[in-house]
Amino acid sequence: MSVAFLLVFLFIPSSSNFSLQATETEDQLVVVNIDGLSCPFCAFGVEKKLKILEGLKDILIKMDEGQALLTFEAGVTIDVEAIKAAVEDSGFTAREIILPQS
Amino acid sequence: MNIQSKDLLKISCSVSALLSIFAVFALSLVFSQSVYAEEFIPPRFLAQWGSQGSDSGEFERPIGIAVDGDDFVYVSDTGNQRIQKFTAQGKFVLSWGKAGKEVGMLDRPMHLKITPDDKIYVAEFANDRIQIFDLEGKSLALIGSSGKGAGEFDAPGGVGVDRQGRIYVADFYNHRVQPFSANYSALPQIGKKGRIFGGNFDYPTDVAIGPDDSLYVADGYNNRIQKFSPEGEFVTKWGGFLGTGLKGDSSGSFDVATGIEVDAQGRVFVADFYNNRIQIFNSAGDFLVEFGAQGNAAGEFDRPTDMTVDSQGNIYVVDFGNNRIQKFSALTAKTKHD
Repeated sequence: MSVAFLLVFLFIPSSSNFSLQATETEDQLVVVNIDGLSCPFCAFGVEKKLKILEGLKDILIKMDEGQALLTFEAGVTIDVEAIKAAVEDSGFTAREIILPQS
Repeated sequence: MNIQSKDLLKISCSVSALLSIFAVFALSLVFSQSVYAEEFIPPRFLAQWGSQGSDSGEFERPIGIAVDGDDFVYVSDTGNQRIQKFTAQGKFVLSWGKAGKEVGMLDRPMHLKITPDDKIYVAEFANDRIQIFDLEGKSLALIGSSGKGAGEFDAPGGVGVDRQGRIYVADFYNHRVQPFSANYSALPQIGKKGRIFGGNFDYPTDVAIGPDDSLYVADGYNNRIQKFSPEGEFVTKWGGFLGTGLKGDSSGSFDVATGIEVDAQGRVFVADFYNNRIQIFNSAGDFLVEFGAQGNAAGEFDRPTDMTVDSQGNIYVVDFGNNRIQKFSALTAKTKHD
């Protein structure tokens, strides 16, 4: 019984290792809230500038909600400053960047 | 006491002079409004087609529109990454394009231009190029690449072609118009980033060429129109107080100009995006008539982005937020003063 308990204890990953593993296997969704996106030139401009971010797998601009939904590949380090810079390059300011919970 | 009287007299004279100047200015405004050769009735709603979706005849954020010599209507269905072709009655004919960078593919097609030799020029906002197709969707040529140098683009929004075959591109993020010769060689840019003064642009969205090869630019976030000679020299501007681009909703003012078109008579049509209307001017920038209001009923708009005019003078408007095309009657003169 004590040997079995020891084996189980050894092979249960710690919580931090578990979340890291989840990040490495699942896409990471980042929500960027941007004001004033109701013009298509603005919205597609933001999309164009964000598309060049490293590790970006998919992007969806929700024009009416003023949001850019960024899907990054699993395991990629998300560069918040690069996101901010891309949004500014498109003529806007990122009001809020919501990162995936680790 | 005498000195005070003189001062009062001087002040009185100054006030009189100012009032006289103001009166002359006001009279000149009234006079300028009354000398128009014609006044126009707002175009009448005729038909509409389209709804949100990705099937044939449906749209996802349409932006640009153009008609060919046979009055077929072409729409850049930007969200669906394709061009759709319709009859003048709105019956779907064909479509082409899918997302990508390869020849024949599209990435955010914006404004369109069709030339008399049956070529359709498409400004690809995200691919930083102009792609030329035949009227069945076969790719014929690519112009431009990404960048800020001569012949390069950062998000081209609109394109125009003059009678010499020169191509003019509204280069949105580079805040300029990039011209090309008929053999696609880059010519010196027109304009630079800025406000207030002629030749300064703030996110130009579209261009159009008049019957005399004058160049008109929808100076998007400067809320105004700028006109240039065929040689690229600034001619005039309008929109807001003295063409400075002060945003507004009175006739002759704009709240983001997203599209421009010039008809065969040289009249200038402007999509006044946030004011949910189309405004029409003569070639000097004098206001003629406007139509549209916010809404989704017939004749109403949810942020129009572009319009075009067919051989009969009928007007087609891209009703961006309502994902539809609306067709209106040709401009009709109301009265004649001279």
